[in-house]
Amino acid sequence: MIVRLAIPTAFCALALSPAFAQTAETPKPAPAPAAKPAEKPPETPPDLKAYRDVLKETDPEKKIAGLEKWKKDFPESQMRSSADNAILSTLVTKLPAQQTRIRSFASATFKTAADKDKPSTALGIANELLDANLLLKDAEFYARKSVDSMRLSTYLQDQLASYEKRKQKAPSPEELQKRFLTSRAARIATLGRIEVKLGHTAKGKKLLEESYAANADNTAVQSELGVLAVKAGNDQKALEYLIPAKLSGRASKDANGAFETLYKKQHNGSADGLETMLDAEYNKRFPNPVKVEPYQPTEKRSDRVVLAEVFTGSGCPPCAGADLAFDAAMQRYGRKDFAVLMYHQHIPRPDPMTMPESQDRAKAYKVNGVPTYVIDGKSTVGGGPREMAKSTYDRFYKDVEADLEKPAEAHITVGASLKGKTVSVSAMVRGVESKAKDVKVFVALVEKELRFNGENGIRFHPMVVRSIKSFGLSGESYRQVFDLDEVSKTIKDHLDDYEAKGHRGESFKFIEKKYQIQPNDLAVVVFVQEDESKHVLQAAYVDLSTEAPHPTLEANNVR
Amino acid sequence: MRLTLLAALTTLVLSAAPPDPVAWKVDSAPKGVKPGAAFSVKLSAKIQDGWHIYGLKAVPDGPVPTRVWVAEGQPAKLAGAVQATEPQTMQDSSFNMEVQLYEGEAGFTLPLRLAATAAPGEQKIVVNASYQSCDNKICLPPKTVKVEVPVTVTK
Repeated sequence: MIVRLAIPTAFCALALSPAFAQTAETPKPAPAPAAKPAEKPPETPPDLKAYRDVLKETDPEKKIAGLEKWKKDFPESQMRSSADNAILSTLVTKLPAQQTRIRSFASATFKTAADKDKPSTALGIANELLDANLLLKDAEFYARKSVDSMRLSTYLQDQLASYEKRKQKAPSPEELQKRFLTSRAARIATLGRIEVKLGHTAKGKKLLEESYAANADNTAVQSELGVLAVKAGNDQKALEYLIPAKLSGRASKDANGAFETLYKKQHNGSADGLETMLDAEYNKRFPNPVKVEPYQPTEKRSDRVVLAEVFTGSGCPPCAGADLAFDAAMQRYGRKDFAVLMYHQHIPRPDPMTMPESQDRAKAYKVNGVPTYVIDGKSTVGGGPREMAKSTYDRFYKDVEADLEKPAEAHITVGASLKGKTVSVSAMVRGVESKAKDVKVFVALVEKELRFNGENGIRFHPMVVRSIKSFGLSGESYRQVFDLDEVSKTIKDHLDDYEAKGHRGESFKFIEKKYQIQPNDLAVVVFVQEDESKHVLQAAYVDLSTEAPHPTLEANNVR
Repeated sequence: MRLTLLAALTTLVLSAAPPDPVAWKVDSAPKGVKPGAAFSVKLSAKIQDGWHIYGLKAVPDGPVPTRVWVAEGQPAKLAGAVQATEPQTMQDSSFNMEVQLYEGEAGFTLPLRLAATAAPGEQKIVVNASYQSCDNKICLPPKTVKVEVPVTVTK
């Protein structure tokens, strides 16, 4: 059987602990299991719990000592190689001057690895040293070991024997050979990058080209080959490598620099239009796989504006599918049918569109992973890669269509204006039909589109919540003023602080901090919600960037 | 009206929890074990066609590895490394690394030692198994199940 591997997760967990949620695909029922679901919260294996505690240590020497002790305490743990990796990583990033120690630790790790694990251990060491730009001759030695250990004849023999042992039908020889070449490509890529760093450019380039021929999607290879092509003056080739690297959101620092240099060279020294050019390339290469028709209201169309609240992350691979599904939904429905709020989260990686109130909103919904989306208060978890966008869309659009035919349970009239850098919102909330004692009125300021290539490759981020305030239901009139400089400062302070403290205990740098607000690209969403049940009674959307003056705009909810 | 809606919503949420494509069972457990003695238990995970779970090896930034361990408060504990049947090794472009995975079935052997204080008679030792199952399109969120292993403790 040929396995196409799935994306890392359909769901990026908030913490490293297992998370539970309903999911997209419903597999066929399993045979009657002898197991029953564990009660929540699930137990953590003792070795994993102790390992996580050690990783919280920030002092490098104490962390290494903790990891060594952990190895003694849990000699049989399946995470042993993770501990060795963490020690080497701590050494090369925090104590790079201790080269003798690094060298001897790497050597001991390689020697003590089981024979079958030696190639992957060697590759891990080579990558750590390469990333740290340290002991490159040693890195070359280990990378070479990992490449040389791969022989097609042995690989085929092992694979066939392994399939036979499992009593499974082996894939075709062509498929196995392809798998061999893809595995080898990753190892050659590391060796090639090391050779380039060592100044052996021709040798490195040859290896990188060989890797690229077997797997053209490795961003590190695209970046390195792009930089080399710029240096060699081969502009056409450079663009071929660098555009996909740029659009992946994972181009190396050198590749970003090389791309800008190349663009300026081709545009009279100016970087103007660089992002527009990438926009066009992005749209050409990544059309939304979800095709929709404009919504035609049925006879049953009510006065409700459906509210979608989406928790997402630019570094979350399975959020790509959910993001595109909501892009498609925004094409199908007008904003007087369907209002969307995107709350960005630092899950699983830092997201420069995150801000404290979006995180508070995630806590209010008890979100433990992204993507999570909430239609009028009903929460669903899970997404997938780009090609899964249609299946995510199919999971929620029927809910949207159904809600569009349910009468609103409140009436909202919104007046909103933008003067200079101040957005003033006044909302009238009447006719609330709820027995709940905890009804709240929310006023959200959104930026209609931010451009940022995160690690999941999504370039355009719509309806990013920049600020959201709430009021307990009391009377009919609500007023909120957003000072854009203040809102921007709050986001910037949060991003600066998050960067200073580190992401899950690891230091990092944002590629870009998206705190600047474009006053001409704003909208306001007002909604009324029962706080405990999260049921949304009604929502309204006002676009602040339309040409017409809008001191008072009536949402499509006249009752 | 609202009551009906809420009831419908509750039903929807309950029915949306997917069945598990992985079923765990006990393949072999000893009939008679003396307190303080070593013994081993074999578990297997039956994986539906089209789905896979990952190997035991934890790799930084890699997929969620399968883990099998004795639950808290049991009259036995692990006495060595958990052994697993040989997984497949494949390059995964999403992780940009080699991953280990199982299709069809995965077997795990747990070397255990019974507590010296274990009471004689029929005992059930609870073993936890955590894993993530994926097909070629999607991964379900990681899950932990409890597997009860029947053991007869002799004097």
